[in-house]
Amino acid sequence: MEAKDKAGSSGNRAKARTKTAKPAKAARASRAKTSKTTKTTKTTKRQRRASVVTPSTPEPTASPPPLIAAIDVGSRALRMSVGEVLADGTTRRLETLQAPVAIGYDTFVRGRIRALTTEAVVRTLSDFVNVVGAYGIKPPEIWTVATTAVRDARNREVFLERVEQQTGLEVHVLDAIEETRLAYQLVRHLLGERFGSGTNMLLALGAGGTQIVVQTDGEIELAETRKLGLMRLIQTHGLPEHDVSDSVRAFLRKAIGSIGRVHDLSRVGEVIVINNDVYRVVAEVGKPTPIDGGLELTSGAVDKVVALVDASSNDELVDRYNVDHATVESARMALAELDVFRELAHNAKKVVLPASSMLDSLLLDRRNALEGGADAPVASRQSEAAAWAVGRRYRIDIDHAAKVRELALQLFDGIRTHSTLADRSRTLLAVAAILHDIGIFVSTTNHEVHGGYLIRNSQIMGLSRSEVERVALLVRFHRRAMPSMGHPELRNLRSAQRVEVLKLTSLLRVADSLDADDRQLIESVTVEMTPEAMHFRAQTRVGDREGFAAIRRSFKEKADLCEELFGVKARLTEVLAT
Amino acid sequence: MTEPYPRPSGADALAAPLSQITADIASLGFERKLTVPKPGVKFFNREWSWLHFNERVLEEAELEDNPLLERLKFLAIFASNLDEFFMIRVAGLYRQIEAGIERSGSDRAPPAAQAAGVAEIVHGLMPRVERATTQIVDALREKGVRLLGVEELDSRAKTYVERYYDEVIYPVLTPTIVGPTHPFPHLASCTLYLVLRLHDQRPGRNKKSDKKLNRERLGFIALPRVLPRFIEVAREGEGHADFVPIESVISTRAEQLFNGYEIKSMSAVRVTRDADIALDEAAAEDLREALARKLLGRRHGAAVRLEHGGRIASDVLEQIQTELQSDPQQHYALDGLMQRTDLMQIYSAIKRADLKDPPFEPLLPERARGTSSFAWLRQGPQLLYHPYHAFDPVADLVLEAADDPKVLAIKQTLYRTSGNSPVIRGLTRAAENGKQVTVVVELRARFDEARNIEWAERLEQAGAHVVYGLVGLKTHCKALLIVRREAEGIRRYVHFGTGNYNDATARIYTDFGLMAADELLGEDASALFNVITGATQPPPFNKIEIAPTGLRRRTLHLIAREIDKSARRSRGRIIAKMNSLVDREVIKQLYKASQAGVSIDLIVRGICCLRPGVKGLSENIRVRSIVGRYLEHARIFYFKNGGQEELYLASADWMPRNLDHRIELMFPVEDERHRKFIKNVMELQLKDNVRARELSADGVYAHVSAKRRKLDSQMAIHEMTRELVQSKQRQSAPSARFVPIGRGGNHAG
Repeated sequence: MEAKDKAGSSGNRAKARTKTAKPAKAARASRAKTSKTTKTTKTTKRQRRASVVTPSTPEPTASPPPLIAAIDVGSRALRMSVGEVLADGTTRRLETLQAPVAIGYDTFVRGRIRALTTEAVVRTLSDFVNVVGAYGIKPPEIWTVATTAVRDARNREVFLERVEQQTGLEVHVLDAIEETRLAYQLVRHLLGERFGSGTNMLLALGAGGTQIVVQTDGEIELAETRKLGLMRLIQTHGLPEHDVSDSVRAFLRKAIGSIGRVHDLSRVGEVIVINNDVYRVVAEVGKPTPIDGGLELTSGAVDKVVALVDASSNDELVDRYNVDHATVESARMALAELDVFRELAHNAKKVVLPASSMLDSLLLDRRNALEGGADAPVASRQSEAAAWAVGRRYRIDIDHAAKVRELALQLFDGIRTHSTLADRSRTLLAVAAILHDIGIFVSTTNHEVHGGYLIRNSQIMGLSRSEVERVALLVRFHRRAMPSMGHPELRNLRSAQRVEVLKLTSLLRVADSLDADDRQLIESVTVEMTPEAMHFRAQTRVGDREGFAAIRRSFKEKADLCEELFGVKARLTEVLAT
Repeated sequence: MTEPYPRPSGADALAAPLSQITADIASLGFERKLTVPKPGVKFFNREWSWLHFNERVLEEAELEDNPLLERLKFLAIFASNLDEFFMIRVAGLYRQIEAGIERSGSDRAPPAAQAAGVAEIVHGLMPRVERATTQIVDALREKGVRLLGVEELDSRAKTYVERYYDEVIYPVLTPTIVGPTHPFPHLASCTLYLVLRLHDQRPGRNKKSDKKLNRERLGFIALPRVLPRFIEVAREGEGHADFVPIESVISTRAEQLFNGYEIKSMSAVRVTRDADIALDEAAAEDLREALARKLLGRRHGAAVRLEHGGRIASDVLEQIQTELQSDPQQHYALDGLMQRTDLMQIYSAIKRADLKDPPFEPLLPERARGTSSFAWLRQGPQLLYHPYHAFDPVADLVLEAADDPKVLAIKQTLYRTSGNSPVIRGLTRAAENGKQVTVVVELRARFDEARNIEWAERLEQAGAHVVYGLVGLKTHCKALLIVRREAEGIRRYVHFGTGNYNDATARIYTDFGLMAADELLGEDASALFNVITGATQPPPFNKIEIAPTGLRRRTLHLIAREIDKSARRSRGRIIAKMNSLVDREVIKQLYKASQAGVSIDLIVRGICCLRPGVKGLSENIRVRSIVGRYLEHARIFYFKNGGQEELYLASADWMPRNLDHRIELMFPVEDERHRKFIKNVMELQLKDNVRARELSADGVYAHVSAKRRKLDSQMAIHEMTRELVQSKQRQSAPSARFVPIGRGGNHAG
């Protein structure tokens, strides 16, 4: 994820210095939407007028916009951004720092981060902390995340401990799929409506990994991370000087081709690429059209850029364009990777380069957190969409899954007042309901066990690793034996999470029983808690006695956990729809 | 006519007739031929070019139009410049010679030839220095400011001086004798010594052996550096005074110091030594020089110049030379006053309007009463041109920021500054007030190390974060950043300058400063400080460019663009003003531009290695140098860019040390009024026919023929800035206005 990072900080600010002034300017203009930078000219003018009239008026004393900071501990470099959230909700970047500390080199080659590198990280992060200190921001308030280079290091715990001790920074190690979510969230934020229509493919070409999201009309069909990464490629194939060798392309085809075999990428109409170095090279070399939030090129124009870069040496490019060696080298690899993806998505007419970066998405995340999760409903929809994508891959019964999800959520909302469950739990329940029968793909026997591990090994965008774990437990216990402390996975949870899992499992079991015959006999359900009992009232369309009897049998069996947890009898009543 | 300076009896040499000196010089065989450029030479030698600059400083001392004390000051500056030149540049040449380096410098000349050329030029200049000194001292005497020997004093003054000797001078004198048991003393660099040939008259213990003993001795007396060089004797009359050189008094009392010895002869000597500037110091301008320094790192303080009285006994000179292992071509015989740097003392002591430049009034920007610097800058950027404009707005900005509750942080680079400057006071107070203060201090500012360390420590004690820049790179850019949290959000106020944050030199150096609340410049300033403190890699900047990463490339690119945009109908145009032009790559690019028809005017005060006006090479390039009352210091770069004019200010010269070995800053001037002002300034400088000299293809700087009305650009700029103020006051424009404040003179420095 790290190669795309500078995009916001630099690529779009690429100076209008040379003959290629146009795209650079366009890039700057396009940034206005995200970061408000260009708005200042207006502001200044307004202020100038105002202060001419009343030069000695005291400044308004409203509280200033909140300040936020984020650090990306990437594979090739450490980066930090400081910004403020303006009144209109946009984030304005104040400072962006980047220091080349290649943790990825250690992790990808040696499997662990060397002490020397750790010290360099600590030193740089201390500098960063000092810079944000000027804004009164303390280390715990800095949203610090690490990606694959730290995630895959065998000694990551030692590393994290040392960093926290020395700098006060608590580093959150992102899951691969969390990285994908961040990229997706950012692109959605940047491109808005435009991103939601048609079939498109989002590629975040990072140093340590590549994130891929395919969606059609806002529905996610594929979301996953591949351990490709420019840095890994450079490590295995050497620094690209000229045309990226055939062996690199062949390697990429092999690595990426499998995606094409599982998913039909020929419907992709637009490829969205997040990578700062590609952005800068394209802005300098190609003739992109500026759009809101980035640049756009036709497929033909991308081919031209690739041809030109392939035909020129690094020195030639550096001399002729306003790019440096590191940018050119990294862009070569990224363009080769992009090329291979475009071979799969051969009907794509356009390539879009958002003017943004990992840091922007972190700031966006921070801003959302600040505003009390303004994007929560969206995030929930995203996770559910991702769950459906996984479900489809394992050929679940869509109607049954949808019904169980619906009923489970009705139950959740019904008992909410009697319980301390959070919004986030609702999402987990929905995802678990969608995926509860996924294990049937392997075998009907013990399918709850198969479901558990399938989920544990799936990438569900929008869910953290621990959330995926909890969903897996919900599925694991949605039928048959009641969960007990004998199960190590359950025992390992913190108690609050264990309670959450039990409560959600109890609801999922009931909801599943209410569609026991897979015929969606029950329209909806309500639940009422009295001191004596929990009253479940199921509304049915037609009086199907036999059908309902089967449901009742199943209910009796599966309401057990509910009764145990809430300490009262569970009663089911049929209510005929009028 | 009485002798201009004291001639102590028995001493040979503190004065001699001028004719004799010139004859002496001629007899040494130095004619100016080595340093005359041959045809085909594309680059002038930088050392020689620098000496020509110092020659222009000397011309200011020679110029009878200048007030007498100002001429005296120029003499002192000339001398102090030359001292530094020998300590660093000439020392560098000798190191290169010893390291066996074959060629160095922009012209790729053998170091030995360069050193010989230096000797040729300096030997040629010294008679002029002596002549000018005599002239000035004589003229000052008529105005009541006299430089006298002890014997010329009346009895009352004599008594005073004798008492002064007994009570003040005598206790700090340390006479040394060189003899069989006493080694030759270390002669300190840039210190004046009296050297005496002595005869030991004390009876020996054994009369027989006594006859065989060599009784000749050498005696040395160092002039105490802790005392003023001249003893000031007050006289009746406003601003009248007598000055007695300290050596004059000491020489009359020498017998007392060497009791038992007969003084056979007495003379003055002064050694200049290699200043041992560290390897990474920018004097090492290319790798070869750096290498030379490294190779010879062990040889400290080698003598690079020996100045001595013209009639020093030859055996005494020989003895000293043997001891110092000095190169005879760097021996300078002088008959007048030595160590003229000390003349600054007289300049500072005498406060007489009739002998100095008329005081000037620096202009202060007018702004509504009660308006803070911040509100003022939010109205638009402000351009300051020192010393025509006062330095106060910059100091005020720092001082206001120190106490402003909304200010979060102040970051500033400090290169050479005075410890009690308002800027340092402001920074200290800000740190005490709990603001994050980051100060990037450059300790390697030549010869100012001790002074810098002192206030740096004070700042640190106050809680400021003091950073000493990046290893191996001198921080030469001048930037100030104030981060303020306002109701609408963070706003950054910046000041970028071409000169140091030094309120004292801001009255003598011409420098531009740009103050703004511009968002993109603010972002650049933040990034710049993050780069300097090592927290980030240099990002692509919005508007500025910095060395050593992008400035060279950008400069070459800007010149190349001018070539691209030059057409027959509309030729490209470059006007560049700087202190020194040395860089080969940039010069070659300028030659290319000249050959492509780009019209180029260069205003280069000091060294210029570019050879202008050579057909087929540089016929479209004109070079001029302005040396005047104020030290020209601003770096301005103008490019026509096919009509889309671009104008930059910078802290950097076009020298390898600036472009490759320092952190330097170039920033654009975007406000139309400011650009117009700067263009007017350059236009006046290009029309100057009083202070300006034009450089010819043969390396000679000559005054411009004054067919038109005489125009002294510095004075004309004074007028222009004043008029601008008056016209603005009439219009009562709301933007920047400058009003004269009643403060005067450049005498502070």
